[in-house]
Amino acid sequence: MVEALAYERVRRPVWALAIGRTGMHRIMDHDEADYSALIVQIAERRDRNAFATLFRHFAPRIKGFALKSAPDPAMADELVQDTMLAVWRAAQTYDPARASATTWIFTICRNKRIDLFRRRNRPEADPPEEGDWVMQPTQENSAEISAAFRRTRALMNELPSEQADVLRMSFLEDKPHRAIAAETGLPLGTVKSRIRLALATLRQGLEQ
Amino acid sequence: MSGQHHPSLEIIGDYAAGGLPEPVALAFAVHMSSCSACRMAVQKLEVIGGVVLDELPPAAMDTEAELDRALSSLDEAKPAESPSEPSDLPHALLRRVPGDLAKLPWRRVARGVAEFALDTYEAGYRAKLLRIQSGASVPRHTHRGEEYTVVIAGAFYDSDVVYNKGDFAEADPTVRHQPIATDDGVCYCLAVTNAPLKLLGPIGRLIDPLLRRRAEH
Repeated sequence: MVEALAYERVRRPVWALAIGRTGMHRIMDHDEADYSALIVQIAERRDRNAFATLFRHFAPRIKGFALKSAPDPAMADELVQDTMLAVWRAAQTYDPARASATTWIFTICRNKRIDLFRRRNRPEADPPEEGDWVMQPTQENSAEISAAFRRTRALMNELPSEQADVLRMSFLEDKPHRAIAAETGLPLGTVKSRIRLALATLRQGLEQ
Repeated sequence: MSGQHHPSLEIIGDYAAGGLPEPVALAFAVHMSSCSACRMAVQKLEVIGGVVLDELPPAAMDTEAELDRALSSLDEAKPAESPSEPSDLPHALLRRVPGDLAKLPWRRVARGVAEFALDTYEAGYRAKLLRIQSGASVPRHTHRGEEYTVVIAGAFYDSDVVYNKGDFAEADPTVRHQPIATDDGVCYCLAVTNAPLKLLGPIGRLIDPLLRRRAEH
């Protein structure tokens, strides 16, 4: 699906950039760099075609994400709209050296879900100061971001399934640990310790 | 400068996942506003969310119709809000209180200690700002649940540990303490609890049932 998308929808500059930067195998594997480039195109040129390509890829996933917290298709469609409009609006703030496209869209979707489902704003940290944590976007940084994404995915796949399951639930479902405990029938302490162990393994693994 | 006392990994992960109760998320956002290490930690853990979103099977939807709806709204989409007027307070807090803490309608609770309750949107949680005058102490207490405290300005010490601006403290029923503001000036904190505190000491024991009754209503 992703390959077809790259051939049919992505316009020449992105395509060329993606090959030049990461090589063919990356496109076949997971074209995070392509999606990043599309967000940059929206930021630089208000490119509606780039938006359409992003939408076709992410909208059904965002909808699936929404349906995990509330089985209401109409509300899920609203979350898709809210998230993708925020992607359009905030594209200028997207920094490919800080987050992959999918991770960035996850954070927007997560925040919009909190806004929409709980009808309140999510408390956010202040924007970083100059020279704090903003790296200059370079090819090396973008490659690091893609590598971190693959590394995180590999580490998640190596987790014992009992830990991986509750970790995924905590990110997928807009539920506190107590609700996860109720849903799985596990004691609250067990849910907490499994998530804690999983996070610790990931954090350690990502520092290596 | 940046916080020396950080929240537990559980809080950082739950914030990245989006499930952290709003008042605790507020306290953590205040901490992160002066802690780049925790911002980086959140950023790393958010990749888990990216992976989870990426591996989700696409849900059934009329993608083209929804895309047309989105495209027709693009022109109306306003640019992201610009930050409000400059203030020393973290933005997350400025959404909830005016920029000048001194002007809040503080309610005195003990000698040198006043509080201002914030609205919370999470059942069972209470969030309040504390103003502790230089050298004054919060009444000695323990907890019936969890307590999360973050220093907004000034500093306090608890036993031998000093908490400066941005520092984050977690306490539970195993902790009995009496935080005291340092002599350097007024200390402002945000304290979030999910159960009433339990006052200790002779006077505390006397008034605790009254406070508890009030907290429950």
